[in-house]
Amino acid sequence: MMTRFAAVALTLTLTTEAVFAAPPASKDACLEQAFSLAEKAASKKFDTEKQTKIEGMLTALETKCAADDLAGAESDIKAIEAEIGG
Amino acid sequence: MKNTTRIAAIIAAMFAVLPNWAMAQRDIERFDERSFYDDRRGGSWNRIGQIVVKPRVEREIIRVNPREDAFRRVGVRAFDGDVEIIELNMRFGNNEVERVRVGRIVRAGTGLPPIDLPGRTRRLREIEVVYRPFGPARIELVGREGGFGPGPGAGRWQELGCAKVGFLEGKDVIRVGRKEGAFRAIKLSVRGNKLRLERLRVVYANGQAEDLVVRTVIPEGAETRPIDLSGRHRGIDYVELRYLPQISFGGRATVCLSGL
Repeated sequence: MMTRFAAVALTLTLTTEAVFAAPPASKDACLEQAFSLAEKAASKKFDTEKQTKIEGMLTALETKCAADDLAGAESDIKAIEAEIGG
Repeated sequence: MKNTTRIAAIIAAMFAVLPNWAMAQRDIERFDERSFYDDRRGGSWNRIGQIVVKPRVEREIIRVNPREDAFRRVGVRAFDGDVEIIELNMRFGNNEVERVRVGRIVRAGTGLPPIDLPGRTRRLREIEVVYRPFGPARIELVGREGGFGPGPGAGRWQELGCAKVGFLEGKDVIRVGRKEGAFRAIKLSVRGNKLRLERLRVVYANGQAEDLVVRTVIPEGAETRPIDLSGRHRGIDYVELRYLPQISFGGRATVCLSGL
Protein backbone atom coordinates (compact mmCIF):
# COMPACT_ATOMS: atom_id res chain seq x y z
CA MET A 1 0.00 0.00 0.00
CA MET A 2 2.73 2.40 1.06
CA THR A 3 4.68 1.53 -2.06
CA ARG A 4 1.67 2.45 -4.24
CA PHE A 5 1.29 5.84 -2.53
CA ALA A 6 4.96 6.50 -2.94
CA ALA A 7 4.79 5.57 -6.63
CA VAL A 8 1.79 7.85 -7.20
CA ALA A 9 3.46 10.70 -5.31
CA LEU A 10 6.67 10.25 -7.29
CA THR A 11 4.80 10.16 -10.60
CA LEU A 12 2.84 13.31 -9.69
CA THR A 13 5.98 15.13 -8.67
CA LEU A 14 7.78 14.20 -11.86
CA THR A 15 4.78 15.02 -14.04
CA THR A 16 4.19 18.39 -12.39
CA GLU A 17 7.83 19.29 -12.69
CA ALA A 18 7.82 18.24 -16.31
CA VAL A 19 4.75 20.36 -17.06
CA PHE A 20 6.16 23.45 -15.39
CA ALA A 21 9.58 22.89 -16.88
CA ALA A 22 8.22 22.87 -20.41
CA PRO A 23 8.48 26.12 -22.37
CA PRO A 24 5.25 28.10 -22.69
CA ALA A 25 2.99 26.68 -25.39
CA SER A 26 2.40 30.00 -27.11
CA LYS A 27 3.13 33.69 -27.02
CA ASP A 28 -0.12 34.31 -25.15
CA ALA A 29 0.65 31.59 -22.60
CA CYS A 30 4.10 33.10 -22.15
CA LEU A 31 2.69 36.58 -21.51
CA GLU A 32 0.16 35.10 -19.08
CA GLN A 33 2.97 33.40 -17.21
CA ALA A 34 4.90 36.68 -17.13
CA PHE A 35 1.82 38.33 -15.67
CA SER A 36 1.55 35.67 -12.94
CA LEU A 37 5.20 36.12 -12.04
CA ALA A 38 4.81 39.91 -11.90
CA GLU A 39 1.78 39.47 -9.68
CA LYS A 40 3.68 37.12 -7.39
CA ALA A 41 6.62 39.53 -7.22
CA ALA A 42 4.31 42.46 -6.43
CA SER A 43 2.70 40.54 -3.57
CA LYS A 44 6.07 39.83 -1.96
CA LYS A 45 6.80 43.50 -1.11
CA PHE A 46 10.51 43.30 -1.88
CA ASP A 47 12.86 46.20 -1.27
CA THR A 48 13.38 48.62 -4.17
CA GLU A 49 16.68 47.08 -5.23
CA LYS A 50 15.22 43.62 -5.57
CA GLN A 51 12.06 44.97 -7.19
CA THR A 52 14.16 46.71 -9.81
CA LYS A 53 16.17 43.55 -10.44
CA ILE A 54 13.02 41.44 -10.84
CA GLU A 55 11.42 44.08 -13.02
CA GLY A 56 14.44 43.93 -15.32
CA MET A 57 14.16 40.15 -15.51
CA LEU A 58 10.43 40.36 -16.17
CA THR A 59 10.99 42.90 -18.91
CA ALA A 60 13.50 40.56 -20.55
CA LEU A 61 11.01 37.71 -20.28
CA GLU A 62 8.17 39.77 -21.72
CA THR A 63 10.36 40.83 -24.62
CA LYS A 64 11.09 37.17 -25.38
CA CYS A 65 7.41 36.28 -25.08
CA ALA A 66 6.47 39.07 -27.48
CA ALA A 67 9.17 37.91 -29.91
CA ASP A 68 7.90 34.31 -29.72
CA ASP A 69 11.24 33.18 -28.28
CA LEU A 70 9.56 30.58 -26.10
CA ALA A 71 12.66 28.46 -25.47
CA GLY A 72 14.54 31.54 -24.30
CA ALA A 73 11.56 32.52 -22.15
CA GLU A 74 11.67 29.19 -20.36
CA SER A 75 15.07 29.84 -18.79
CA ASP A 76 14.01 33.36 -17.83
CA ILE A 77 10.92 31.98 -16.11
CA LYS A 78 13.05 29.60 -14.06
CA ALA A 79 15.46 32.40 -13.10
CA ILE A 80 12.60 34.69 -12.03
CA GLU A 81 10.96 31.93 -10.04
CA ALA A 82 14.24 31.33 -8.24
CA GLU A 83 14.65 35.07 -7.57
CA ILE A 84 11.13 35.47 -6.24
CA GLY A 85 11.18 32.28 -4.25
CA GLY A 86 14.69 32.73 -2.89
CA MET B 1 -48.36 94.18 -78.63
CA LYS B 2 -48.86 90.47 -78.79
CA ASN B 3 -45.10 89.96 -79.12
CA THR B 4 -44.41 92.25 -76.17
CA THR B 5 -46.84 90.27 -74.01
CA ARG B 6 -45.20 87.02 -75.09
CA ILE B 7 -41.71 88.28 -74.29
CA ALA B 8 -42.89 89.59 -70.94
CA ALA B 9 -44.47 86.21 -70.18
CA ILE B 10 -41.26 84.38 -71.11
CA ILE B 11 -39.14 86.71 -68.95
CA ALA B 12 -41.58 86.29 -66.07
CA ALA B 13 -41.47 82.54 -66.46
CA MET B 14 -37.66 82.61 -66.49
CA PHE B 15 -37.58 84.64 -63.31
CA ALA B 16 -39.98 82.20 -61.72
CA VAL B 17 -37.92 79.18 -62.71
CA LEU B 18 -34.38 80.54 -62.27
CA PRO B 19 -34.36 80.85 -58.46
CA ASN B 20 -35.59 77.28 -58.14
CA TRP B 21 -33.03 76.07 -60.64
CA ALA B 22 -30.25 77.98 -58.88
CA MET B 23 -31.34 76.59 -55.53
CA ALA B 24 -31.47 73.12 -56.97
CA GLN B 25 -27.91 73.44 -58.28
CA ARG B 26 -26.73 74.74 -54.92
CA ASP B 27 -28.43 72.06 -52.89
CA ILE B 28 -27.82 69.02 -55.04
CA GLU B 29 -25.91 66.58 -52.95
CA ARG B 30 -22.88 65.47 -54.88
CA PHE B 31 -21.14 62.48 -53.47
CA ASP B 32 -20.08 59.04 -54.49
CA GLU B 33 -23.11 57.05 -53.50
CA ARG B 34 -21.27 53.77 -53.95
CA SER B 35 -18.87 54.67 -51.16
CA PHE B 36 -21.74 55.02 -48.74
CA TYR B 37 -24.11 52.31 -49.81
CA ASP B 38 -21.58 49.68 -50.76
CA ASP B 39 -22.47 46.61 -48.74
CA ARG B 40 -18.88 45.43 -48.90
CA ARG B 41 -17.98 48.12 -46.39
CA GLY B 42 -19.33 46.00 -43.57
CA GLY B 43 -22.91 45.20 -42.62
CA SER B 44 -25.60 45.52 -45.21
CA TRP B 45 -28.34 47.96 -46.06
CA ASN B 46 -31.82 46.69 -45.49
CA ARG B 47 -34.72 48.18 -47.34
CA ILE B 48 -37.12 49.83 -44.91
CA GLY B 49 -39.70 50.90 -47.48
CA GLN B 50 -40.40 53.14 -50.41
CA ILE B 51 -42.59 56.07 -51.32
CA VAL B 52 -44.01 56.58 -54.76
CA VAL B 53 -43.96 60.36 -54.98
CA LYS B 54 -47.30 61.90 -55.82
CA PRO B 55 -47.68 65.40 -57.28
CA ARG B 56 -49.33 66.91 -54.24
CA VAL B 57 -48.38 64.75 -51.29
CA GLU B 58 -45.58 66.35 -49.34
CA ARG B 59 -45.31 64.11 -46.33
CA GLU B 60 -45.67 60.38 -45.97
CA ILE B 61 -45.06 57.90 -43.20
CA ILE B 62 -43.22 54.64 -43.68
CA ARG B 63 -43.74 52.13 -40.93
CA VAL B 64 -40.75 49.98 -40.10
CA ASN B 65 -41.31 46.27 -39.94
CA PRO B 66 -41.21 45.44 -36.20
CA ARG B 67 -39.20 42.33 -36.99
CA GLU B 68 -36.37 44.46 -38.35
CA ASP B 69 -33.26 44.86 -36.22
CA ALA B 70 -32.40 48.16 -34.62
CA PHE B 71 -30.74 50.55 -37.04
CA ARG B 72 -27.80 52.84 -36.44
CA ARG B 73 -27.90 54.55 -39.82
CA VAL B 74 -30.61 55.45 -42.26
CA GLY B 75 -30.16 56.16 -45.94
CA VAL B 76 -32.43 57.88 -48.47
CA ARG B 77 -32.22 57.27 -52.21
CA ALA B 78 -34.23 58.61 -55.13
CA PHE B 79 -35.20 56.75 -58.26
CA ASP B 80 -36.98 57.65 -61.51
CA GLY B 81 -36.86 61.38 -60.79
CA ASP B 82 -35.47 64.13 -58.58
CA VAL B 83 -37.01 64.96 -55.24
CA GLU B 84 -36.24 67.43 -52.50
CA ILE B 85 -36.08 65.84 -49.06
CA ILE B 86 -37.06 68.55 -46.62
CA GLU B 87 -36.92 66.64 -43.36
CA LEU B 88 -37.19 63.21 -41.81
CA ASN B 89 -39.00 62.62 -38.55
CA MET B 90 -37.95 59.34 -37.00
CA ARG B 91 -40.12 57.85 -34.32
CA PHE B 92 -38.46 55.19 -32.19
CA GLY B 93 -39.90 52.30 -30.25
CA ASN B 94 -39.94 54.36 -27.04
CA ASN B 95 -41.97 57.06 -28.88
CA GLU B 96 -39.07 59.49 -28.97
CA VAL B 97 -39.05 61.50 -32.18
CA GLU B 98 -35.85 62.63 -33.83
CA ARG B 99 -36.27 65.41 -36.39
CA VAL B 100 -33.55 65.54 -39.02
CA ARG B 101 -33.66 68.64 -41.18
CA VAL B 102 -32.27 67.79 -44.62
CA GLY B 103 -33.30 70.43 -47.18
CA ARG B 104 -31.49 68.83 -50.09
CA ILE B 105 -32.44 67.80 -53.58
CA VAL B 106 -31.65 64.20 -54.38
CA ARG B 107 -31.13 63.45 -58.05
CA ALA B 108 -32.59 60.28 -59.52
CA GLY B 109 -30.24 57.37 -58.95
CA THR B 110 -28.37 59.04 -56.11
CA GLY B 111 -28.93 59.31 -52.40
CA LEU B 112 -28.25 61.35 -49.31
CA PRO B 113 -25.17 60.61 -47.24
CA PRO B 114 -26.34 58.13 -44.60
CA ILE B 115 -27.78 59.69 -41.48
CA ASP B 116 -26.35 58.46 -38.18
CA LEU B 117 -29.04 57.94 -35.62
CA PRO B 118 -27.88 59.65 -32.46
CA GLY B 119 -27.40 57.73 -29.27
CA ARG B 120 -27.55 54.03 -28.84
CA THR B 121 -28.88 51.62 -31.39
CA ARG B 122 -32.61 52.07 -31.20
CA ARG B 123 -35.52 50.33 -32.76
CA LEU B 124 -37.20 52.49 -35.35
CA ARG B 125 -40.98 52.43 -35.46
CA GLU B 126 -41.69 54.78 -38.35
CA ILE B 127 -40.17 57.47 -40.50
CA GLU B 128 -42.10 60.46 -41.76
CA VAL B 129 -40.58 61.86 -44.93
CA VAL B 130 -41.36 65.46 -45.80
CA TYR B 131 -40.53 66.10 -49.43
CA ARG B 132 -41.18 68.28 -52.42
CA PRO B 133 -41.73 66.52 -55.72
CA PHE B 134 -40.59 67.76 -59.09
CA GLY B 135 -42.37 65.03 -60.98
CA PRO B 136 -42.80 61.28 -60.83
CA ALA B 137 -40.17 59.68 -58.58
CA ARG B 138 -39.63 57.06 -55.93
CA ILE B 139 -37.94 57.53 -52.57
CA GLU B 140 -36.36 54.48 -51.02
CA LEU B 141 -35.43 54.32 -47.35
CA VAL B 142 -32.76 51.91 -46.22
CA GLY B 143 -31.31 51.12 -42.81
CA ARG B 144 -28.09 49.62 -41.64
CA GLU B 145 -27.85 47.77 -38.40
CA GLY B 146 -24.71 48.13 -36.36
CA GLY B 147 -23.03 50.68 -38.63
CA PHE B 148 -21.53 53.37 -36.47
CA GLY B 149 -19.19 56.25 -36.58
CA PRO B 150 -19.36 59.05 -39.05
CA GLY B 151 -19.13 58.71 -42.81
CA PRO B 152 -17.75 55.78 -44.69
CA GLY B 153 -15.63 54.59 -41.79
CA ALA B 154 -18.44 52.48 -40.38
CA GLY B 155 -17.41 48.97 -39.46
CA ARG B 156 -13.88 50.06 -38.61
CA TRP B 157 -12.12 50.31 -35.29
CA GLN B 158 -12.83 53.60 -33.63
CA GLU B 159 -10.66 55.01 -30.84
CA LEU B 160 -12.88 55.73 -27.86
CA GLY B 161 -10.46 57.16 -25.35
CA CYS B 162 -7.11 56.82 -23.65
CA ALA B 163 -5.80 56.82 -20.09
CA LYS B 164 -2.35 57.21 -18.60
CA VAL B 165 -1.92 54.41 -16.13
CA GLY B 166 -0.83 55.36 -12.64
CA PHE B 167 2.18 54.09 -10.71
CA LEU B 168 0.32 52.98 -7.65
CA GLU B 169 -3.40 53.00 -8.31
CA GLY B 170 -3.78 49.81 -10.31
CA LYS B 171 -7.09 51.04 -11.67
CA ASP B 172 -8.19 53.51 -14.33
CA VAL B 173 -11.37 54.38 -16.14
CA ILE B 174 -11.87 55.29 -19.79
CA ARG B 175 -15.16 57.05 -20.30
CA VAL B 176 -16.88 56.41 -23.61
CA GLY B 177 -20.40 57.78 -23.42
CA ARG B 178 -23.51 57.01 -25.37
CA LYS B 179 -22.79 59.40 -28.21
CA GLU B 180 -19.98 57.21 -29.49
CA GLY B 181 -22.45 54.57 -30.63
CA ALA B 182 -22.73 50.84 -30.16
CA PHE B 183 -20.00 48.23 -30.32
CA ARG B 184 -19.65 44.50 -30.57
CA ALA B 185 -15.96 44.24 -29.69
CA ILE B 186 -13.23 46.26 -28.02
CA LYS B 187 -9.45 46.15 -27.93
CA LEU B 188 -6.70 47.97 -26.07
CA SER B 189 -3.46 49.35 -27.42
CA VAL B 190 -0.55 50.38 -25.23
CA ARG B 191 2.28 52.83 -25.79
CA GLY B 192 4.98 54.45 -23.64
CA ASN B 193 5.47 51.33 -21.56
CA LYS B 194 3.99 47.86 -21.18
CA LEU B 195 0.79 47.21 -19.29
CA ARG B 196 0.13 44.22 -17.08
CA LEU B 197 -3.59 44.02 -17.46
CA GLU B 198 -5.53 41.94 -15.00
CA ARG B 199 -9.14 42.54 -15.92
CA LEU B 200 -11.62 44.82 -17.64
CA ARG B 201 -15.01 45.87 -16.46
CA VAL B 202 -17.21 47.11 -19.27
CA VAL B 203 -20.16 49.15 -18.05
CA TYR B 204 -22.81 49.47 -20.73
CA ALA B 205 -25.07 52.42 -21.40
CA ASN B 206 -27.97 50.61 -19.72
CA GLY B 207 -25.97 50.20 -16.51
CA GLN B 208 -25.24 46.50 -16.97
CA ALA B 209 -21.63 45.48 -16.44
CA GLU B 210 -19.45 42.74 -17.83
CA ASP B 211 -16.21 41.56 -16.21
CA LEU B 212 -13.52 40.25 -18.50
CA VAL B 213 -10.52 38.54 -16.97
CA VAL B 214 -7.46 39.16 -19.10
CA ARG B 215 -4.34 38.49 -16.98
CA THR B 216 -1.68 39.20 -19.54
CA VAL B 217 1.10 41.58 -20.38
CA ILE B 218 0.53 43.95 -23.28
CA PRO B 219 3.99 44.90 -24.52
CA GLU B 220 4.70 48.50 -25.45
CA GLY B 221 3.38 49.27 -28.92
CA ALA B 222 1.18 46.18 -28.95
CA GLU B 223 -2.54 45.71 -28.70
CA THR B 224 -4.86 43.03 -27.40
CA ARG B 225 -6.83 40.78 -29.63
CA PRO B 226 -10.42 41.90 -30.21
CA ILE B 227 -12.48 41.18 -27.12
CA ASP B 228 -16.04 40.31 -28.07
CA LEU B 229 -18.76 41.88 -25.97
CA SER B 230 -21.74 39.79 -25.03
CA GLY B 231 -24.92 40.39 -26.98
CA ARG B 232 -25.19 42.38 -30.15
CA HIS B 233 -23.93 45.94 -30.58
CA ARG B 234 -24.01 47.73 -27.27
CA GLY B 235 -23.47 51.28 -26.11
CA ILE B 236 -20.61 51.61 -23.63
CA ASP B 237 -20.68 54.06 -20.76
CA TYR B 238 -17.15 53.41 -19.49
CA VAL B 239 -14.46 50.76 -19.24
CA GLU B 240 -12.60 50.20 -16.02
CA LEU B 241 -9.09 48.77 -16.26
CA ARG B 242 -7.46 46.85 -13.44
CA TYR B 243 -3.76 46.27 -13.83
CA LEU B 244 -0.62 45.57 -11.85
CA PRO B 245 1.13 48.79 -10.94
CA GLN B 246 4.69 49.03 -12.27
CA ILE B 247 7.27 47.65 -9.90
CA SER B 248 9.87 50.18 -11.03
CA PHE B 249 9.69 53.50 -12.82
CA GLY B 250 10.01 52.71 -16.49
CA GLY B 251 7.71 55.51 -17.61
CA ARG B 252 3.95 55.62 -17.63
CA ALA B 253 2.03 53.61 -20.15
CA THR B 254 -0.81 55.14 -22.12
CA VAL B 255 -3.60 52.72 -22.86
CA CYS B 256 -6.18 53.44 -25.54
CA LEU B 257 -9.53 51.77 -26.01
CA SER B 258 -10.98 51.10 -29.45
CA GLY B 259 -14.39 49.78 -30.37
CA LEU B 260 -15.74 47.93 -33.39
